Amino acid sequence: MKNNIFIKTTVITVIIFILGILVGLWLDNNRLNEIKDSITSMDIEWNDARLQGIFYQKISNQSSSCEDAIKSNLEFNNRIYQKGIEIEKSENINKFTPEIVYEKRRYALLQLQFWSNSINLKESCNANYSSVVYFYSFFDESKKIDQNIQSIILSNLKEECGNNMILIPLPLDLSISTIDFIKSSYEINSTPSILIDEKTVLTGIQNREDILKYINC
Amino acid sequence: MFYLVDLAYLLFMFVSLYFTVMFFILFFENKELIQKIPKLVRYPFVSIIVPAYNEEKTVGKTIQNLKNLIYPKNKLEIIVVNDGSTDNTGNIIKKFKGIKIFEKSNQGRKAFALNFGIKKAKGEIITCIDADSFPKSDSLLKTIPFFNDTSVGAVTTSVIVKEPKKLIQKLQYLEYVMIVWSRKLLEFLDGIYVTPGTMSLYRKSILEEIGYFDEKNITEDIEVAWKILRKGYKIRMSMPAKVYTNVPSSFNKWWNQRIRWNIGGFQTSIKHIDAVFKSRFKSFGMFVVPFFVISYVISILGFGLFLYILGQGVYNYSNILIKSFIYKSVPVNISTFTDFIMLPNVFTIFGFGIFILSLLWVLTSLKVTGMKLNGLKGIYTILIYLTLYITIFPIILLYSSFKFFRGKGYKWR
Repeated sequence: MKNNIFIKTTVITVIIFILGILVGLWLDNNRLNEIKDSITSMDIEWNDARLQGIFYQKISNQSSSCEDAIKSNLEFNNRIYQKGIEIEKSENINKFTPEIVYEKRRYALLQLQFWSNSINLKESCNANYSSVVYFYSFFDESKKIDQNIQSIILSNLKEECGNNMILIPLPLDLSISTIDFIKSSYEINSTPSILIDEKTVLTGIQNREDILKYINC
Repeated sequence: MFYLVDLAYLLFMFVSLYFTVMFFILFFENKELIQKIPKLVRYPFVSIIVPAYNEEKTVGKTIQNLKNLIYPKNKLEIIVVNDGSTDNTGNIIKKFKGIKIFEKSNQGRKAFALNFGIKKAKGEIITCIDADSFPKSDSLLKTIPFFNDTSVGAVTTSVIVKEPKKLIQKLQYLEYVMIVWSRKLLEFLDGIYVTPGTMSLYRKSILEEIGYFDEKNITEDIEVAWKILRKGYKIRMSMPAKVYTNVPSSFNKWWNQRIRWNIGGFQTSIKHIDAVFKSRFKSFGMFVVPFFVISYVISILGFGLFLYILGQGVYNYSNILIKSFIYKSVPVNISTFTDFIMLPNVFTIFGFGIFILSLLWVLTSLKVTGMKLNGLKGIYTILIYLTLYITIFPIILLYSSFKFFRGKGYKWR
């Protein structure tokens, strides 16, 4: 009778526990799949926007094509930025899906393509927005608080400046060779760091006023 | 990402879930037996021992309650041991007729007074009652029948908090309700590990066999139960036999009482640790001692995790606040407020699940025992109990272990 109780308790507890873990896994996977889907859809949107820009330049007049290309580039920036916040939230919450790192890498590559396009548009269309590239560490726990502050300052600044500023957060330690190249080119050795308009590198936490000295908000 | 602290959290959740499930199974499988009392077949001679030390406020009422007990008067003796009281206790007890009064000098622990009284008693059954406990008049009739089974060494009763007024007393009222219920459920595993001093009955021959109460132990009521179980005797609990008791009315008194309970628990655990997982001690070795030890470990683990998570949160947010001030920023992302969005994951599922089970546990306890905590104040009491009150237990446990291992000991009074 008594052993029976312990066996029953063990079986029921294990079942409930496994169910709990399965629900947790299901939630994590749902979030991961949502991220995968939205990155895939952004990838498509990005290719569409990029091709749109090329065709505009080929078949439309220069000024209207530039205007449209800049507009779609800025719209894309807003969407990709919001998606980045969602991914970040899921990174902290998800416990069973380490593959979220791969999505983070895909996301970073998309950001890089967007940045490259923004540079091209600035050159070819004289776009007057400021590009702010924010470098942070994905794995270094000791940087989390400083990065958190910097990210809040930048997010609120982006909110304030709107389309006059594009914000591109890039993780430095996800083994992406393009980022490694940028890192060594601009001598970015620690996080948080900010690169403004591909010229000025600011290292350590920068407050709103410091950043505003370099951008047209 | 998964870290060691996450594994510790899951382990804590698993063990908590295990014991909650165990109690629910015990309840559902023994529902009909919970209020059941065996048939009274004979009236054994009962000696009631009341150790009293400076109990002038309550001892009179306790004795009056004992005199009102429904039991053949020629089969009952009431022995009051005045344990060196320096107040008016001696004069109060002398006013009662038909009771035996013994005077002794105080030796620091209640066990001395109890053993003194037991040696003077002529009863086959010894009933030990605190001088601030008030049994209902039918409590002997509802406990004695359990001794029909000759393997029963002790019988304990439902201890109820008398007239809880302050919040701390209401919290203890709720706690005692759950103790009563879970103790009854543990009976079905032969796992009742304490025979509270408020009112417990013992077979005198067994007390003699185990060498009476341990005079070195400050929670003699836990230690004596362990000795009874260790010898292979059973302890039963009579749910319908009710005894009312006063509980500490201030935080300080409550804190000191709990430290004494914990230190006594350590003394007892260490004394009997050799029985752990030894099948020859049956449920005592296989369940009671491990259950006690696991409850210490899980309590400290849970508290450690709580402190870690809380500490990390406080550290992070205070740093963010400080640095936000230094860098002239607001401390939140004003466009998204992402820091305030709670997404469910495996941890929140288990945390929420355990909270709901605990709430169900409390409500079922109240229903089964027939106790009440009415209205909005009752809801507050339950919520404070589940969130704040039980969080203090591990702190007391840690403080008690610190005191215990420093070797300073603890005085009963």
